[in-house]
Amino acid sequence: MLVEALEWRGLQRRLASCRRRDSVYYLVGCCARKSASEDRSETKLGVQFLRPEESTHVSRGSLLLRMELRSNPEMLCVVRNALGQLAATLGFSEPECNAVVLAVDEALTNIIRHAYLGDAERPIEASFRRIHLPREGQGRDALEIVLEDRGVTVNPKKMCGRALEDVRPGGLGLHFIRQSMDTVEFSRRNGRNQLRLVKILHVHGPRKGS
Amino acid sequence: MQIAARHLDKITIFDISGDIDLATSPELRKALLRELRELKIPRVVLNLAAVRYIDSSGVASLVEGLKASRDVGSRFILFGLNRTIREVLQLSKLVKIFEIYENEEQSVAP
Repeated sequence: MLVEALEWRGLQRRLASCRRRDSVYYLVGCCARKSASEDRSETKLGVQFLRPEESTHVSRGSLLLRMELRSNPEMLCVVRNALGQLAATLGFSEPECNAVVLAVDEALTNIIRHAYLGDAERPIEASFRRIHLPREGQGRDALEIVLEDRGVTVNPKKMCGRALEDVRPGGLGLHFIRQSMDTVEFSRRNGRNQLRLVKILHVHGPRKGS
Repeated sequence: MQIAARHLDKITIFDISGDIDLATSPELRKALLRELRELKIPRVVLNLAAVRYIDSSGVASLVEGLKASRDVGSRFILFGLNRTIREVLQLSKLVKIFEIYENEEQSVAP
């Protein structure tokens, strides 16, 4: 595995040298995609570029579940129930299941409130995959969740949450998401906001097809 | 989510059940603020024993209730927190700001 620490310009040059657009690269605990729009929000400073044979393991997992739903808060409980069952089936512990459910619920809440400004009839797509991540010389299975919306552009710089010492309502959602997941990535592509969440499976669950 | 109110002398007890999320937290917020800001009930107690889930919007409603209680000089008390609810409050680092008891008897004690 090639490990590189790059500033934005260096990363831009490094990505430009890669052959394919929308290629997937393994970062420090997460992934980034080469951006056709050169959106800086899709980059990280610490980058671990995979060799081609390694990158084939990233983001090519099996699709477990795909949902197309409206941005109606009444749908949140439906997603929570389905995701809780899915995470348990994959072998996540109860606290991990709760964490994944909380993160996705908060992410959907943010989409409804901030991307769609409360409009309950806008589309949200959610996909759930089991993926295999090369990590510390050994592979780790993980649950990858991608949420997409067509709402207003999300500015990653403004998505910093708030200081927890500041006791007031609101601003906790992003903190919950970051505390609950191993990888949290925002990006904007083709007029869509995309949020990618990954939770590593620390205990082997039921194998695929079992 | 369902909310049922009981009134004991100068205490209002809300028995809450189900999920507190973006869809339901406005109802909770409205009930809390009415009891605290409008009726100025000296002590408002929330029984959370039957709450299965709470998210950040639910926590925000609790924080609003707490702030309203401080504004009017009332007490705002939670009891019956299960593991899931306690974990979310701990994750928010707000668990210490609430007055929390194990059961109703402690919550309504003079």
